[in-house]
Amino acid sequence: MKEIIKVRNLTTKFGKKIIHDNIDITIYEGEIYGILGASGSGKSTLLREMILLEDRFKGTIEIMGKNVKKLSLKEEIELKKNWGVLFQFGALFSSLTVLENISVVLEEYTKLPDEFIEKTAFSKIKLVGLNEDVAYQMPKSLSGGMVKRAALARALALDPKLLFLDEPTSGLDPVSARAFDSLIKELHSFFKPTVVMVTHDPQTIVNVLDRFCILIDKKVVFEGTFKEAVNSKNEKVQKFLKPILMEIE
Amino acid sequence: MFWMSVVKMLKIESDKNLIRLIGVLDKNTIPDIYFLKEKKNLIIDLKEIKSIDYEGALFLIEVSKSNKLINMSSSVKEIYDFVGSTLKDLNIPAPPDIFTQTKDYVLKIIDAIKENTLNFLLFFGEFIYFLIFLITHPWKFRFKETAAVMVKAGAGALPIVGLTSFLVGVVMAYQGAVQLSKFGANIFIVDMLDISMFREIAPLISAIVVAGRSASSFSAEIGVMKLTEEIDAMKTLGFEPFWFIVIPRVVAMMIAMPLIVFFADMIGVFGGMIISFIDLNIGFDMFLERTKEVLALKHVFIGLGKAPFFGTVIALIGTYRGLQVRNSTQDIGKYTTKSVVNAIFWVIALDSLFSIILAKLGI
Repeated sequence: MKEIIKVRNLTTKFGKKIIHDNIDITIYEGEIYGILGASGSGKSTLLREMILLEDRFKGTIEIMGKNVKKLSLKEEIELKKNWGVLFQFGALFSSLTVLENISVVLEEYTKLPDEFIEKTAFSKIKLVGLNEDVAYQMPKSLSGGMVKRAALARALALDPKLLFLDEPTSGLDPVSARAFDSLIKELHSFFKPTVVMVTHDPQTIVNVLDRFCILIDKKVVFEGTFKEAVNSKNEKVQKFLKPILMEIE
Repeated sequence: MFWMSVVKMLKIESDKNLIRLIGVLDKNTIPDIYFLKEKKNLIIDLKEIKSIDYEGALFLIEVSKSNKLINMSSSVKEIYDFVGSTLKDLNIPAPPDIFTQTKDYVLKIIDAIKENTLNFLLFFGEFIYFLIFLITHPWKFRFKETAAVMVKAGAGALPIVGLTSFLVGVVMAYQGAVQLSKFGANIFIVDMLDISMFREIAPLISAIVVAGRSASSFSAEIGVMKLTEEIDAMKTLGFEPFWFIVIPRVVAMMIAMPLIVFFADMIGVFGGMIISFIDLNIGFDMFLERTKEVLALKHVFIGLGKAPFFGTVIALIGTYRGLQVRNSTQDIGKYTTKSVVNAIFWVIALDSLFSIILAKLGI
């Protein structure tokens, strides 16, 4: 298997507060990878470091073979075209309609004719399970779950090879959350993107993730599949998994 | 690495009605063959298509409506069917037309005016209610917040208010000096400067500067608190936002404004004194002597008496606009602008109202 993201000797310090202490993780091409851990364990920071929003760290992060700290501006944009990011609260552009939020990406990066872009945007709105009527609405008039779906449609606009999801099912009702899970699995089976997600949702962890890492006390205490985690002898891992296993039963 | 350096290519071979597509069909190569959508009754051979993406599949579906696709490989077929299934009952609603848009726009404005008036009346009512509450329950007053606002919005405004009124004093004295020296009525510069500065100019200048500074900062501050749900959190804890946010600001501005105006009075007249000395040869001692004679105390008190009203209006508008922020970042910009414009307007309107009333009363 080919590595798509390699994190090596990563140490993050904000002032005197240590967030990550010398962690290594490896994400392979085509898998659905989860970053797990308790609140405040630096999961979101790790994700932000991968998507170039945070650079106060020591060590290396390689994405598609490129060290993210040594990118030229052009390489950076090339790299960004290959990924889509779903933020926890959607982060839709509040001055644009839902349709424009999705089509703006395609308008910027492709030479497709406008009518085709519109059609694509509409079909992606449909794909993420939204009604076509929301297309002309402004983000502020959508509910939390709809914002999340619209934001996923925007993240999918360029058919990314890498999809970063920050707590995709948080704030959704259980039915929508499971629908979201199966949507991600379905997309994954057709377009084979590598998916990296931060999540707390036990159902997602068991049903969707191929592999995951667990961050506890600034360190990665475990990296592997769910089965391996269940069989792990590490006390911290078992303590972390206990509520998840209970939930599943 | 290979992800970035792959050159995506699509070749087209045509043979009468048969079109053969070779290579990669994705969002970058579609523009090259977009013309196929307009054609009819072609047979398109997809045997040599190596890979396809979402847009590619969507395009093939479009093309297949009037042309025939053959030799679709199973991997292409999978994506084609998947995209097709999402399109099955997709009907693109028409964007709202100009007429409905205009109608909606006008209705929205009317609604906004209605809502605005109602909201302001409610806000003002709440203000009166809490003012009475303040008088009957003075021990519950939030002294710490009030003091903090006085420092930030009151003392913090002194440098800029001072500079502005100094310059206005200089300009007035300078313009007056030219005219008065024509008549040899040099000493009347003191009458002109003192009365206009204390009674009108200093209160107005300070109020306008403070409106620009503090109305905007109140609105932005409260607006962000609304967006981050801080205000809602306060409500759930039983902290009435009006009591914790609006009243301290209003009271602080009510107290701070006369002090700011007095400061502006002094600096403004001082600016005039300097020019009188340079241009009209009126020494500081002579200036102050004359001031004692001509400046009735009522002028000073009228100027200072207006100040609390200006302060109240500025704080009320700043907080009112801040609380109107609903749920988008754009609202903050919108209501901050509104609060500054409204505050400046109402300060000037109030000032003219005072002028008229005082003139009618003969003061």
